[in-house]
Parts: sequence; structure tokens; C-alpha cells
Amino acid sequence: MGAAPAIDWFDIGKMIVDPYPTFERMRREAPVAWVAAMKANVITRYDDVYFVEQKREVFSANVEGNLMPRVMGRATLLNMDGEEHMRERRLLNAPLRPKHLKEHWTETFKRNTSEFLESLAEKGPDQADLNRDFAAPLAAKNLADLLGFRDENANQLASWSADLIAGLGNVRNDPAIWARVEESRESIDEAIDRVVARVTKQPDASVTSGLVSAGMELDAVKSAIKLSLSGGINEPQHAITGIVWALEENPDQLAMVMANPELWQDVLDEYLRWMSPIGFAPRITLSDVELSGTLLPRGSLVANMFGAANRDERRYENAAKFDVRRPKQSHLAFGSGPHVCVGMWTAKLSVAGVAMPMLYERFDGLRRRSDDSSLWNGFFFRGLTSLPVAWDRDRGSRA
Amino acid sequence: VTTVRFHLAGGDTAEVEVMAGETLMVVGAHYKLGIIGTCGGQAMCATCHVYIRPEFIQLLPQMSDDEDATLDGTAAPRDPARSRLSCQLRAHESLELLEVDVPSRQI
Repeated sequence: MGAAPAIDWFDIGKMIVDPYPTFERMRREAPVAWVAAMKANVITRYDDVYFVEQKREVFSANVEGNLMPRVMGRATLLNMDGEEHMRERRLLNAPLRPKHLKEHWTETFKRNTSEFLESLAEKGPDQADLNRDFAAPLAAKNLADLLGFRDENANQLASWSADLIAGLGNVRNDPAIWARVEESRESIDEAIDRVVARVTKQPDASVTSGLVSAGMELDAVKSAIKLSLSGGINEPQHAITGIVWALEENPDQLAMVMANPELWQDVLDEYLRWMSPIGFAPRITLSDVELSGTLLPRGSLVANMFGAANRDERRYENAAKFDVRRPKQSHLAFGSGPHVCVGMWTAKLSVAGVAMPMLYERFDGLRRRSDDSSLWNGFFFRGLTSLPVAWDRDRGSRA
Repeated sequence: VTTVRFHLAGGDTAEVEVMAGETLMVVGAHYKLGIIGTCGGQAMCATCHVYIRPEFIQLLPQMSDDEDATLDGTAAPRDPARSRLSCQLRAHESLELLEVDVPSRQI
């Protein structure tokens, strides 16, 4: 059993353009590889990634040097393990379960979707950009409402989210980025104080209200809300635009979904497997452990690559193909185990349950105006940076 | 030890001895009996859904609000009386036998 081989062909620049050729080679040649540019052992096979996610007594989320506590002002759920993690996680789960979401948020998500469909329609089929005019503001507004922010618009939330994300990726310690992060964090904390004051007097269905009513301490509430801000906008936004791209590539699948709207949930799952919006989670080993014949000694930093695992041919036949009809198997886009994405039901309801069907119901012949594959970007977070779209007919608002 | 009979969607039956305190989800996922258990037992993902055979329903503890709220998201239809999340069901000294039907899909 050898140590993880160092590979010199993990080129960050190429990964940002398209990580999948490198992932494929890693799964085949070096499934547990030391990547100096990541300062981590990168794990790419499905079985190994799943094992790392599940084996929490060995793979800790409390990774030394992780920038999250600095960005958020405190450790978040994603830096905690065991009972300490579950105490706060249980409180955050409650307002984000499917029953609560369906009862309290379906109408809000529909209203927000209508509002931004209108923005898209106003731009017209020559100018509309599905990302800028629909997916990005919709994801931000849904999250603002869900968390309980009322005084801030979608742009404000999106800008805060972008600043937090820039901080999480500030491995080069750029002081200008830290200054932006600190300024935004102060504004966010003040905004959360206002929401907390309101929901303390007048509880509502928002996540913040749920946490406050359950007795969560204020600094834990702030940490959970900031974590949601950093991880709750990009992903639904990327799913919406990416699904439109993928369905246009596969018109037979689009026709099938139009005839069977209940398939939108399967479309979302297949999209998340095919083009996982969140690339990886960082971990550190608490004891020596073997993965695919490689020894990771205690104290090894690990980058657990969801995006690579979700294209593993050992698990998914023709893994590189977007195929709604493939046999249903679970994927790792939401992670797995105690840190599984707390927003997964929100994504299912807001994207697959509301946004996608309403988008295609409204615009007959919806299609992209560009097939420029350079619109895809990133491997920490992957998605379309813009998506110019056109349509044949606007069926108009039915609200 | 509780003997648990998992009646699988394809028609087969798997009988497993489950140690007291252990959940049906852990065993069902380990032996790949149509149970996934993505969230690791926090009643959050609804991928360890089982239908309890009617004669055993009364032998089980009442479900929590959390379990009830997540059961609304099961991929296979929820049965008002029989649906449970197997991560919330533990083997018990006083429970000799438990029979469950595993739904045809968890996602």
C-alpha cells in the first residue's frame, strides 16, 4: 500500500474550463492523488468519495486552514463534527423539510418565478439572458424570502453571496478581497439582527424564525444564515440554466419531459449528477486510512470530488451523457451523511417543482441563442456564466 | 436482537438479525436492500422509506414531527398508516420480529 502519488497534470486553468477530462484520467490512473495546487489529496472514484462522506469518525470536516471560519466570523456547520454539528444541524433541518416547504413556500416560489419570467419577457427574445434576467435574481429572491430578509432585494443578496464566496476562495490572501468580505459580513450581520428582532416579536415560516424559536444562540443563527447565503444561490441558479442547455442538446428528452411534467424531479437529479454545481468538500483524516490501495496517513488533507464521483463509469453507464432515462441511482451532488446539503428539498421544490415547469409553460420554443461552450465555467462551483435565450411565442402571464 | 424481514420490491425477501439499538436503515443500506440512507440517519432525505406490515405498526414507537415532515418527500407514494423512515426504527429486545415492504424507488 503506497502513498498518494503526486500528479503534475492537474492544471487549475484547464479545470476551470472543463474539469471532466482530468477527472476521467484521475479515476483511471490516480484515484487518490496529491495535488500541490489544491494542497490536498484529491479523491475521484464514486466508492471512495462515498466512503469519505460516510466515514465521519475518520474524515473530519474541521479542516485546519480552511477559510470558512474567517469568512463567516465563526465556524459553520461545514467545519463541525459529531454531536456539536448535529445539535445545530437538527435545528436547521426543521424549517427545510419537504412538508414545511410545500405548505409555506410553494406560493412564494411561484410568485417569485412569475415576477422574473416577466423580467425575461420584457427583455424579449433578442436580448434576454436566462441567467441574468431569470435564474440569478430568482435564486436570490427565493433565498431572501426563505431566510426572512425583507428589506434587501435580490441584487443585494447576490452581491453578499458573491463576496462570501470570494472570501472562501481567497487562498492567495488578497487584502482587497478580505476588505470586501469584512464589509459585507458586517452588513449581513446587521441585516440578520433586524430579521431576528422582527421574528422574535412576530414568528413566521422563515428559516431565521425557525432557528430563533428553537432557541439557537444568535452567533450560531448568524453563522447558519451566512452559510446558507454562500451556498444557496449559485447552485439553483446553475441548475436552472444548465438544465435548459442540457435539454436543448437532447430534444428527445425535452419532448418526454414536456409530455410528463412529473419527470422534472428526475431532470434535476440527472443534471446535478452530470454537472454537479459544487465540486468538492474538504476533509482531514483523523487516523491512517486506506482508499483504493493508497495510504492516507493521519492528518492528510482531502478534497472529496463530488463532480468526479458523479461521472464514475464504475457506477454510471455512459456517465458523461446527460440522460434522464438512465436507471435511477443516487448521486453525490448534495454530498452524503451528516453534512448532506440542507437545501436539497428547497432545490427540488423551487427548481424542479416550480421554476422549470413554469419557464417552459410560458415560453414556447425556448432555446439558447448561443452554443458557446466557454459559457461553462469553474470546478469549485460549476455552471453557465450567462445563457442568451430566444423563444417563438410568449404565452404570457397566467397569474 | 430483532429479526427483520425486508420484502423487496422485486418479490424477494431478505431476513436480517439486527442488534438492539441499531437502525433498520443502517442494515438495509449495508446489505443493499433497496435502502439508501443518504443523510446518515437524521430523518432528512427520505431515502430509507419502508412500509410497515399492518400487524407490526402498533409495536413501533410513534413517529416524531421531523419524521412526519420528511415522509412528505418520499419518491414512492406515502401510505398514511404504513410509511416510516427506517433510520428512525431501531431493533429492540422486546421486538422479536418486524416485517417491512421496501418501495420500488427511494429517489
